[in-house]
Amino acid sequence: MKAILCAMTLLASTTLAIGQTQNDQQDQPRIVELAVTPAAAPVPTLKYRLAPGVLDQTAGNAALLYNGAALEASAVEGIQTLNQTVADLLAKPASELDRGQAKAAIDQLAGPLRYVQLAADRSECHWDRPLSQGFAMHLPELSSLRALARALALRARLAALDGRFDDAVDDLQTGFAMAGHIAEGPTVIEALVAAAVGSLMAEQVEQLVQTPNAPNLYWALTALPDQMASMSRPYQYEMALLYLTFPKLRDIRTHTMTADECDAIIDALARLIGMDDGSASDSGWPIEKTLLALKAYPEAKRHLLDHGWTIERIEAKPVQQIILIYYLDDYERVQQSLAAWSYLPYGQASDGMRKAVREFETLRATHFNPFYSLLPALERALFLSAKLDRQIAALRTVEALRLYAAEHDRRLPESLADVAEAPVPLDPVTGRPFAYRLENGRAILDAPAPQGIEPKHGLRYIVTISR
Amino acid sequence: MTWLEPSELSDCFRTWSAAMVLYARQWLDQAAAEDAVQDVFLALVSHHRRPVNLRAYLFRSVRNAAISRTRSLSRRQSHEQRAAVDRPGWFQARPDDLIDARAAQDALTRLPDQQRELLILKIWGGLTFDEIGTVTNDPTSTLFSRYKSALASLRRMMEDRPCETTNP
Amino acid sequence: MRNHEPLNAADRELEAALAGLQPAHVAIDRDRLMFQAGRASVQPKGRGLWPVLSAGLAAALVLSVATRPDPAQTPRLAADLAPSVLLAPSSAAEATPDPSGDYVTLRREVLQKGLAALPDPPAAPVADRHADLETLLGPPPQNRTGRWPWESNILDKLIGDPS
Repeated sequence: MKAILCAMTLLASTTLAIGQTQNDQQDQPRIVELAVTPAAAPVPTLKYRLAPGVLDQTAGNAALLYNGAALEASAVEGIQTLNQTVADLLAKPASELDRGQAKAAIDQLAGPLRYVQLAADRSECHWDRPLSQGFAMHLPELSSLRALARALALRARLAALDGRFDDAVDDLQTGFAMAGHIAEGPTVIEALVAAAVGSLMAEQVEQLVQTPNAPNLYWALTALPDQMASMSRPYQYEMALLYLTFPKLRDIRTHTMTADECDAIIDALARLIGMDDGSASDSGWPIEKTLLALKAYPEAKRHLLDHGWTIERIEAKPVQQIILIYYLDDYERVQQSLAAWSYLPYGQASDGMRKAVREFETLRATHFNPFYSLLPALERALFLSAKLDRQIAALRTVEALRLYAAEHDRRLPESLADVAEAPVPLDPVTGRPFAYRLENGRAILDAPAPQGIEPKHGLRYIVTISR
Repeated sequence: MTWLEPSELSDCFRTWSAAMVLYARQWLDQAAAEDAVQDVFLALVSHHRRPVNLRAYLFRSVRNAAISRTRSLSRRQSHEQRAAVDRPGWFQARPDDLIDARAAQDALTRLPDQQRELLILKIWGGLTFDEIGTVTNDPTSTLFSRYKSALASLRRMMEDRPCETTNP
Repeated sequence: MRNHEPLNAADRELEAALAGLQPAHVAIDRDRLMFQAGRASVQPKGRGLWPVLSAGLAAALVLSVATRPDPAQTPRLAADLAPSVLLAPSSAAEATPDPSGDYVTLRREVLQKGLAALPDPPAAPVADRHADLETLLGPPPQNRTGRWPWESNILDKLIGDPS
């Protein structure tokens, strides 16, 4: 499994938006043209569901069935080629999709997809990750689930193109449930995979609402969680990772460790962050460690004296322990100054978080602390999570435009404030209304990438009412 | 980056520490020479700015530290230091050496101080004549002619050295 | 060597031979270094000099760096040091885990490059895919002696290898 995790293969897609993009240029947002028909809300209002209802769910732990799906998938002959085929088909525009080839590919995955459907119907999902493993923890089934999500998305797309609306909605409901279940995992990576799976399904909704006589999905989308893949709980786990990996660090300020114990932690940390590549015996890391200690120890002593430690208390502990305490104090201060922002929605957090990140980058340029390497890129992780919420909010806005058009003789509104048929959501990334304009009979909804994020992560919907 | 990262300090130590100790042996015994070199690295660790010419800085610092130490010793201690200057050997004796390590050391110790210092800085320290000039405060032109004289003297001493026979 | 006559062949040869000599190995006296570092870190203000005998750091510091070449030369400060913290013998306590950077590396790659950085899903080995129930649950095949391997082991121990 270590070999698998170490064999990072770059696939063709370069973005988290798995699936079709109307524009692959790096300096442009993702532009999607949606030719839709006016549609009032269905009767009953929640006739179509993208989130399972209570009566649709079965008691039980979905994780077991997801693992079963991953195992089943691994046993399919030629699975790696098949996965690539599915990814390639999904990347094609609808007009270029070979439906026969797509159906054949999906049929080979019928077994694993059945397990995924059963899992999605479960009311709970407990991944039971071995948190005590800390940084050594593996996430073995994530890649398989991501591949199965693509297959599910392709099946939903085929159903939409064939006009089998109910089948498409069923598969999308499964996909969104799967995203929600993956987001139950404790790690940032699981949250990112969940966001990607949700985004994949949202892209199929883009296709679905363009099918002739497609019902309005405003309320179906509104019933989805506000934050499909929140980062606040994964960040709690990330903050704890260091102490899960090195439990002795929890009591490092109150207990006296031996020099050997401290050294073992320092050496393991050096391997973890790549300071020790294990190549040298009597040089390299051992000398670097000594010199690092030379530099850090005076700083560490001054820091602890400034924070109320007595000289006797400092001298009662090994040098390495004093240095570790110093680095940990600094690391925790920085880490928490960043992690606090994960408790807020992106729109409220972005300015303060960006400032905190810049302060950290300035500090890092002049101040060495090996623990800094353990900090994840907070701003990016939070945005990628919010990006899915933004996409769903934008789709809700499109559906609100269809509601409006159904009541206003197929016309699109001059501004979003004109839409009274249903509340138009705010952009979760900015916390403000989406940028909207009407231009030559087309409604343009803009959701640009925020400062510091590549433009390709922005979104533009161009909505026209088809005849 | 204007300050030295631990990895750079480590590289400096690996690359130059042995030559720095060899240089300090002009004035000190092995233990004191190592202490002087370690003091230089200790000072470097505490610096918040990278010296403009790091190599020259290191050897200049070693020179200052070594001379300072000898000045602080009593006459008796100074005499003991000088007696111990050549013990243990300055070089590692290796079978593929083109020149006998002990013979080279003996010859070097018989050179005038300035010539010996110059040879060590140039050959084992790898300093340029300009850099050596900043260490010893000598003009470059003087250093080159002194260097040639040093090599010539050393060669003569080594050629005159009686051959050591080995037991059959 | 600007505007200088080059060395003659004999001098160049000697220079090269001398350059081939390796200066004696150098060790770091880590105890002394840390002691000095500790002294330098404390600026006494009304506390008097930090006593030489405050040896918690020097005595407790054990770093994996080469020791002095001459073990007879004990560190000069050793006799002066009265360790206030004795090194406890390394306990056979919990082993420090070897995380090998799996999660941290994966997380960094995913955040920088997207989910394309996730490894490909695994495929089961070909043999496993075609294993039928009997193969999975049945006894192992007999060996050439006509006995099951487990039978061979027991019988061999009791009566010796008949072959």
